[in-house]
Amino acid sequence: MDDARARELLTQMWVEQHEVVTRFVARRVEAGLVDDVVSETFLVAWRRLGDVPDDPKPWLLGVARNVLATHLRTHGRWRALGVRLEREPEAGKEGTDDLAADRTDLRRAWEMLSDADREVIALVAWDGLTAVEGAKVLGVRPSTFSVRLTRARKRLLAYSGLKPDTADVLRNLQESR
Amino acid sequence: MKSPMMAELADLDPARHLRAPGRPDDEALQAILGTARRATPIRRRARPAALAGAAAAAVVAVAGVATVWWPGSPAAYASWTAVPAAVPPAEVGADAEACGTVAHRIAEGDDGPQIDEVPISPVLAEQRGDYTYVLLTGDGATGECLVTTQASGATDVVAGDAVLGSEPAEPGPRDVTTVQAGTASWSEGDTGDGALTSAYGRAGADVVSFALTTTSGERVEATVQDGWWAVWAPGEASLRTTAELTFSDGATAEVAVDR
Repeated sequence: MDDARARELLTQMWVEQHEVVTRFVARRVEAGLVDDVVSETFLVAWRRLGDVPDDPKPWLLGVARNVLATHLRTHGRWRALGVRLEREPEAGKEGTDDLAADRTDLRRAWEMLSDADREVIALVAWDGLTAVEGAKVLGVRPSTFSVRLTRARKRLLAYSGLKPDTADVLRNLQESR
Repeated sequence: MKSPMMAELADLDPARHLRAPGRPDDEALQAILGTARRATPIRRRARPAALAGAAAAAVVAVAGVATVWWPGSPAAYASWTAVPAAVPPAEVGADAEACGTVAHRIAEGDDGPQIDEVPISPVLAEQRGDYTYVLLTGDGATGECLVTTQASGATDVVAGDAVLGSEPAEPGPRDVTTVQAGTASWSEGDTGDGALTSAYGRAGADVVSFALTTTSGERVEATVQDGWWAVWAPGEASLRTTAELTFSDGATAEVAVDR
């Protein structure tokens, strides 16, 4: 591939995927690190342009995940890799009471999930990936991804159906582990 | 197809309002396009060193050496010394442990990119001021790592790793080869604060010392240990392109550094 073509390809990838990658990273690290991780991800793409598949999104997210893992591991912040959730909304901004109650349940359930469960769910719910694409990000078989996703959703559903008291007890138990 | 629960969850996405469109003239993109696409050459074979005379002997690539991410301030390197102190093998263990023991390879699997972990273990360690540098290698992979112990007792670790694909060849007795590894090179921000320049590679059995010069003219001694050499200095691209090898018989060779 000549240089002009390479520049064209990377530029196109940057224009089309920058926001996707940035969001993916922003959910996982503090704001100050996001740009570095995103740039490093595209640098890997630049150096490995020949390896980037026609649909670059899952590939890029897989690379971003690896870059994140390296950054966080070396800085002792492994725990921060877990996908974060939107901050608790301010009172009065959640619409109807029923909906707000549902959200609270869902939020509480989410916080009880393991990082691995959150990750598969986030890839689908937030990154908008299919199971096949999500599997590429994690470097696992699509069937493995589907199984993980199904289990994670079941857990999320089960946790969100718990009475608040029960959920709190369970969460305290998990945190004390 | 999304279940109602998944749809509801979408509203809790912390990044759903984040707008970060990529534009062709973004500085960050231009910075990437300005780098060599073929990354850095992994290894360059040195030419045999001449037995006598000051003729250029080995070729050492130091250009484009790794700069690793270091979020500290420039003053963080205040205690750096041009001459390293050896780290007793018995003391390498704890530092190496802090460095992590795997390098990461992004391989193309059947279902897309696969992140493989390649075990690496320490082959060289040195100390410059408060900083312990550890070089780790294994199965065609390398890692380098700086460990600093804070006054509080907390340990700061910065590390980068690279998978080379093949084991760096053992050089001839008077040869030197350079292995390069790079991680983020611009993470230090516009000022370059916190950047460091490092280089490492294989050293032939007769090579006993290896000295480079910083761009400010200071002589820096590399560590040569068990067939490997390594050196680092504060700052971006802070090592000059010439080096001097000393062999076990006392002969020296001026080494041209290949950009």
